[in-house]
Amino acid sequence: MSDEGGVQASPESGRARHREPRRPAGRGLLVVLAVAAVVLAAGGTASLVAGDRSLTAGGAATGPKAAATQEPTSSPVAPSSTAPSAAAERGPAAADATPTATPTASSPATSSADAAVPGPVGTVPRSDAPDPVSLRVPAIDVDLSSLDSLGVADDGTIEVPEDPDDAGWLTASAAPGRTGPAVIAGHVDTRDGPAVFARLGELAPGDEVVVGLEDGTTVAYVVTGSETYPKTDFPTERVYGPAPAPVLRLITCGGDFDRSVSSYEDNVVVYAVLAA
Amino acid sequence: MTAEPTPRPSRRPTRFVALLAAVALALVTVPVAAASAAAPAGDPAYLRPAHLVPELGAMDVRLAPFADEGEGVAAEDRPLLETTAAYGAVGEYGAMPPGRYAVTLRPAGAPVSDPPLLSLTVDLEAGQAYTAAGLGSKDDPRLELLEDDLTPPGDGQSRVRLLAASAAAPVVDVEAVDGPVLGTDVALGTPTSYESAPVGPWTVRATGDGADGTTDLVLDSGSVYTLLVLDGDGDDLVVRPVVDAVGAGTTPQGGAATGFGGTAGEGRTPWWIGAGVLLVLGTVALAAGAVVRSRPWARSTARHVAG
Repeated sequence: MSDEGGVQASPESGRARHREPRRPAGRGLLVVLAVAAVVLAAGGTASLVAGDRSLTAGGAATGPKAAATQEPTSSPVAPSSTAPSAAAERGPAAADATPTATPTASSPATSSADAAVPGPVGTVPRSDAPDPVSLRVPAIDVDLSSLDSLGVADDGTIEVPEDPDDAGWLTASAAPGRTGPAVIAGHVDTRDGPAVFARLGELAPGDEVVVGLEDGTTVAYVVTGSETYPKTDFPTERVYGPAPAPVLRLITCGGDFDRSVSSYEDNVVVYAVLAA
Repeated sequence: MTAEPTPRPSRRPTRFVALLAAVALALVTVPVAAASAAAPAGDPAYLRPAHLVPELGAMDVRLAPFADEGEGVAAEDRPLLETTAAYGAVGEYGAMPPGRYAVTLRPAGAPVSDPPLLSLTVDLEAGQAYTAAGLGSKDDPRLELLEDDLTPPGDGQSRVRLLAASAAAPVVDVEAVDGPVLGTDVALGTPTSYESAPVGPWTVRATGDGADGTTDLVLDSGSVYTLLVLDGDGDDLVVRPVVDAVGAGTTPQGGAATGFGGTAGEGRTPWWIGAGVLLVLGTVALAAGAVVRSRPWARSTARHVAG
């Protein structure tokens, strides 16, 4: 599926993204068990435990104490000081900080992902329904007055918003309110603190999600469920596959964070259907 | 799938680590299996009505939950779906709680107290899509629950099934002009299975029994369609595309890279560090235990320290 690799920028698209290698799930669990066993077994071997802590601190940008106090909050995170690591590798084109629907001329292979522009022979324009421009999820204090446009990267993965405070709509997915899955993705955190979808996993059945469209109308959805999947076993069919009615999927990261590859092990997907 | 630490020469740590790995494997397997389940809890079932019996008048269609499980009677006084459908009509999908329902068909305007012309008991599953369709001929109509396909088409493909519902041409051939043959000898009232069809704008032609008809339509990437062949005026046939389901036009592969770890908290060291520390500590603990057991003076020393 995706190549092995760490953080990587996508200069030609102007949108930051990073690829994450596939890896077995559950390593974090093993670590938890191992640490528990250490605590039980080690007793007075304090020096070795301290050694473990130093390893932890070495791997993380934040020390244990700082991390422990970083509960998710709704307070905004300054993008400049918490820029994703991918930003460091941004190409010149990334100066265009405002994602638009402009097709990527250099990559015809993925241009069919673009909603507004007729594709090459063999593809057809998708519905010219109004694009989504805002997102409100009251239960987790998300209130965005703009949405990025996300495409499919050359390596086949979904592009993710450059700014951790933004969420983005996958332009190859259904327009909100129209038949099919509308997909909106956002970061769970930056390197230093919470991002726009930090609390996505808190959403419960019945919670409301409202998407505003460029024509001024809104589409109200109601959450039906929230699932966590290992990235190595992402349910592509369930999330992106055909749906008989207008549905919404909100995607972010979850599970344990593997610092050795700078990647969360899981994705959280919230499912919603049109409000009655 | 579970990363297993390299066994050490010492016998007991090896066994311990193996046990640990087995426990971890067992715990990990459960959520992975759950993740593969078809539909998360809370997903509705989707159902739409269709009247595809040529020469049969408009029908009232009702979908009502059974008052009781099992052999109970449908509560038709509180239907979840109630609509009047003329020949050729296919309704929008409605979201229904999964469960058992009765579908009834009566001539339009007939009171609910009348026995239905046709009725059917259906079990609707979460996340699935269905068409409750009146099929067949005027003299031999039947009510059938069709399962509508939600399988993703391949890249640049759509999925199409054919449903012949024409009295003028009980058996039809359907093709895309300058494109693929979509079906031959498609019989009245018997839907074909879904097949991949190349996306694009097409002129689709249906022919049979000297009747024919063409329709311009667009098949979108990632979407699923039913093409109806209906009676038109005289010997004309009408090909009507119905959207069954819409998927992403381009399907991203794998998960989304939507986090940088700033709120991940502590303790998520790479697994091999934890495993390595465990191995070292286990070895030390066992060695210490052996030493304690083999030297009586150690016990008194320990007691002395404790006191």
